[in-house]
Amino acid sequence: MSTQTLEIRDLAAGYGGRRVLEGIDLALLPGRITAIVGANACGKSTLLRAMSRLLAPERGEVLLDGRAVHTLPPKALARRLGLLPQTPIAPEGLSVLDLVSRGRHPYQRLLGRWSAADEAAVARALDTTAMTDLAGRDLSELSGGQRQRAWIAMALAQETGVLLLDEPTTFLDISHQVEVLDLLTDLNRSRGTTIVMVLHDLNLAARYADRLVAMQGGRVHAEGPAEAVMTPQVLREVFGLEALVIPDPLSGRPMMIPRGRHRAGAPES
Amino acid sequence: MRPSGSGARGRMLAAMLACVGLAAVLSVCLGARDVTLADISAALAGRVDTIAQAAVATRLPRTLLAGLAGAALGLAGAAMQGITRNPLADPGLLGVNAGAALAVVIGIAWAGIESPAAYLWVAVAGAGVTAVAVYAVASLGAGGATPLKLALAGAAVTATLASFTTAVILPRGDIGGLVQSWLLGGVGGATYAQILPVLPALGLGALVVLASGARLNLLAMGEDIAAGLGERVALARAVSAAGAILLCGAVTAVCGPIGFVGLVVPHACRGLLGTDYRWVLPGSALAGATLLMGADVLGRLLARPDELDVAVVTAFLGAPVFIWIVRRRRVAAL
Repeated sequence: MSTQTLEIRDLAAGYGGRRVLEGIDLALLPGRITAIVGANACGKSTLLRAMSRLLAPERGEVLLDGRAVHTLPPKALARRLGLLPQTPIAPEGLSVLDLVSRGRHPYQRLLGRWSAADEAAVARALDTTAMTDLAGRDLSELSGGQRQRAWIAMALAQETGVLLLDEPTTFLDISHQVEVLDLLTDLNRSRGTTIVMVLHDLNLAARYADRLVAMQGGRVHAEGPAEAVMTPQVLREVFGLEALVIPDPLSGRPMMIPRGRHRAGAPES
Repeated sequence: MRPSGSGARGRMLAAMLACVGLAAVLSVCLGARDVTLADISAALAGRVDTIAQAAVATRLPRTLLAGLAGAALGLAGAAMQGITRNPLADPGLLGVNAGAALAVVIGIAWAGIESPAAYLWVAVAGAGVTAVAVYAVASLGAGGATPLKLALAGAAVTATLASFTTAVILPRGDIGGLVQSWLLGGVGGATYAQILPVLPALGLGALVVLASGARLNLLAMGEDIAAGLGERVALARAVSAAGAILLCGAVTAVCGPIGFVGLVVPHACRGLLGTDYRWVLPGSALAGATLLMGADVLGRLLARPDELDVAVVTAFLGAPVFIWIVRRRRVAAL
């Protein structure tokens, strides 16, 4: 699967006349992991929706390998760009295998047969996400982490060069958050998939993403490697948060510690 | 018990097909008048020399109509539940049949139409306008068309349409009898001449709905996922809905409004066949045919020597199921 370049030019978008995004210019590096961070209602999810054509831009364009995504036929786009919305819902009684198989929809023609390539893609997606043993289980029987892995497997079966994820770790225990981010990193390394995700947890974003995009008020405020973006100054400007940034002792990536108003001094004796 | 392989689901469909056959046989053999096997075979051969043979002969088109209407309502119900992701969606509950009925009654009263062929397009138009109106009303306000709002909007619109219908009929003693018997919803007195004109509409609607299984599977996972997998969500909804409306309008044109078949049948089929609409849809057609033919037979036997209209029987069978669905914990999601 070839890596694909995703470029956003002067993008403005919103809902029913209410502008949410304004003048976004962004080049997302192919084969890398980009995390979009920012305070609530800063336009993170809207940016993801506009990039995946769930939302039509009011101005500007999103280019996938130089072609505007909003002019590509829907199935052709879905073969190149995958999307996992925040907390997706599955119908009652759907099995993991059924769910993952639906990821092959962009490859199906009307009355088309299920092909060997479809079979192989589903098997590979289940294997990558370690869901093969759970393939026959109902989605409703799984733990939150397993369920999220099943949804990621569905997006993998789509075999796209770009994968967009809206808060893939929401509502997960911290151990499952790490598990999901490790899985996405594996994917990025083994398949070269370009990953763009909205993340809430800044320290996990700085740890796992090659690049951070900090958004504020519908605009890109800062963009670059974690060291350049996760600074006390950007945190103050974007989140209104006073914080200490130190290198994470395991990875050396920047890690932030909020100052807050309590227990921020030397240990009380 | 939920078969996972297509082998098990194929066997289940075959069993459902056998049930259709059984219901058809019962529908021909049983009724207000007891008949002998000799009468039945004579009637099947086209002879109507005795009263018994004539009785059987009238049961043939009636059985055919009950089977077709049941299949159409089952399909339409499954499609509506899939399009709206609403377990309470049903051509009767959402007011679609009532809309078709009002349109036909207006047509009879004011435009003087009097054949099923003419009823057909009026009914389809009425069904379509009502479906759009109910969905629009339910979509108002926060949260969009939730199952509860949709059911309430459907109930409100149904009540409104029913009183309009009464208002149209009341001053018209000349058409009162005709309209009243049609409005009750039944398959009694069916003739091939009534059935023939709506066959193309039924066939086209069934084709469109049966072909939308894969699309409904995607819609079941929410608009965002469906769009992300390359589906044109609005188009997929519109096409499937058009098929369902065609089916409802055609059935209502011949039988009058019949409720609850479209509600009960898809739920039963999901229990037997799983959630995949490519199986649920054909299953709903078969189970709908079985249910309506069975309800018709029941209506003939319960009220001997008279008979109950089939819509009365389906309402008795369907209402408890409706209550059971509403009381279930996970009514909000399908």
